[in-house]
Amino acid sequence: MYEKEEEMLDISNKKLELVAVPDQLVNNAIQQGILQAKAKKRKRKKTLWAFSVAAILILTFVTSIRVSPAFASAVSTIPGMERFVHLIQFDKGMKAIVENDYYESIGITQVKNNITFTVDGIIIDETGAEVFYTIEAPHSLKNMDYQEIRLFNNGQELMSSISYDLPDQEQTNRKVDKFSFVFGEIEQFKNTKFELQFEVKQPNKATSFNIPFTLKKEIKPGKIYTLNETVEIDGQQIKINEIKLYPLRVAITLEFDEQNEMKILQFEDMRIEDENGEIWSSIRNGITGFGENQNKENTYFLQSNYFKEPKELYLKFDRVQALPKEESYLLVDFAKKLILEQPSHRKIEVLNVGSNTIELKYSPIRENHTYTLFSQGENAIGGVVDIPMQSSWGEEEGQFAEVSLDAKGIINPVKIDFIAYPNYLNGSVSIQIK
Amino acid sequence: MEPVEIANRAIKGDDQAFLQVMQLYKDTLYRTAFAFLKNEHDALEAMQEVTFRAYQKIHSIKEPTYMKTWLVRIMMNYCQDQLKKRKRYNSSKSLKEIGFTEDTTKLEIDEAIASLTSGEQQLIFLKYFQNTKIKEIAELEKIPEGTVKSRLHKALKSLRNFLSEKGDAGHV
Repeated sequence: MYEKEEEMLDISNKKLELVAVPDQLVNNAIQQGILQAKAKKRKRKKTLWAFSVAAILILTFVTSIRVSPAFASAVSTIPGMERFVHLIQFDKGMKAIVENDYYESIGITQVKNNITFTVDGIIIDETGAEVFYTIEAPHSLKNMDYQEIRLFNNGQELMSSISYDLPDQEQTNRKVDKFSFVFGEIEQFKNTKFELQFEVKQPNKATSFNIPFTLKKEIKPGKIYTLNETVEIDGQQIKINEIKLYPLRVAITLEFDEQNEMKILQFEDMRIEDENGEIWSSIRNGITGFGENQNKENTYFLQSNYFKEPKELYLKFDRVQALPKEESYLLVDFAKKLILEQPSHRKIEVLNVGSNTIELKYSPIRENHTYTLFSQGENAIGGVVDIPMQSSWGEEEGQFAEVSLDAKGIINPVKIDFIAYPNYLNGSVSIQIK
Repeated sequence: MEPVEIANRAIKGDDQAFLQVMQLYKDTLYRTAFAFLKNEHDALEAMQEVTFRAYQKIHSIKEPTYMKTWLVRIMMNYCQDQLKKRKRYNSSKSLKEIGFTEDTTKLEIDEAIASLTSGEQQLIFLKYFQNTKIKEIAELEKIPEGTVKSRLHKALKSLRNFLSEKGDAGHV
């Protein structure tokens, strides 16, 4: 019927096949694309783990600071510690922990399927644990994937969210890294007997390690300040319940008044200052808190400075992200690929809706920081729709994010709450802790 | 190894296999980019971006035999987005660039294709440049085969209309 058109198309196609392919340049482009994707994948893995517990607020950033002489000398007294310097040098609290001898060397190794797994040491308190490990093999570990990572006390699993960095490793057959466990609630340990279970998978082969160990150092308890004071910012009431100081983190529990018009999302600059106005503690890299969707009570984590005791402490924050409650979400019909409702501020633009994905664009929320925008979705019948993957990257035109929902849970329309959004309350808060 | 087997491994996250997949289809992908973007520089940039996107999403492929078409679709989506951007930012410049071909047959059919909607362009490209089966297109688009056929029919009709209008104009 359309023979003439089909013939013309055929000629055009034959001409296209004559276009020379610059092989070397194309190979380079492919190489670059893979490198770019891998760099992003590493970041994403972290998010993936952290999200496996519940609605968690996360922010990550990368920074580097020179190693101070005091820290360097503390490190040199701990066997094997120098390997981990790159993992902790940018974390003030972690550095103080090492300097104050709260890091405990373990040094237990297990060899299975030709893979050597060593738990080098641990920093643990009632809020979480940092487990430093080394994994080595006589062959490359490139195709190895991490599976289950669990920590037990007295035979019972400690419910936690786990993250790991997988930084660029110098050798392909060795990984030096740490697992970060953040416990779902404050743990009162039964005894000093712990066990780490770790499973790795290579093509067609899974290997699991069990490393039991007993701690010798005393686990430092939290220092608790109960405040129960209400502050107001831009007409919104926030009750500060308590502030607990642990070696690994400071946990601040806030309660938001149900009458508030705004849903409060992230505190970008929440910090604790001492009597000289010096920042004693600020938001740390990684998991920044646990929250629940109703936006009633949330726990936020700050970097700790447990070993330093100033006379006075003040909790402060200015940059508070918030959205009007009735428009703090996206309502999406994935079948029609339509956004039905979204915040009227339109500071985050929806570029595209796929069958289970959303692409967004916005101006960078905060320099050097990437916020995860959503926690989970809710389908038309009130079921949870998981968001196993969220990635974000910056380009010249702005910040982009891609969110993939678990297709199995989708019953349209799906409501997806924002947990970060570049819209702010006016005002600032300062409250004395001690 | 068979392409399907390589595809399967790549979907499971084997980096080596992913590289093999890209090697296998790089010529097709490059020419696809060239067909839309018309120059080497942009086509190379497209290769990098499409590699990046494919690496991120490869785990979501359900049917490994459709790997090539899946990649070509990512490429076409990328190219069409780029063309839209170009139009927005410097429409006059890109118009001049298109005029590089001397062969009028090519020019006319290319112009005709360019006049189609994004979806129709992709359909025509898959069917007539990639010889993709209607069944495969239907499954990838998650629409019935009959719908693919009728859309194809409509696209060809638009091509004919465009070409005959051009032709008539030429005679006047």
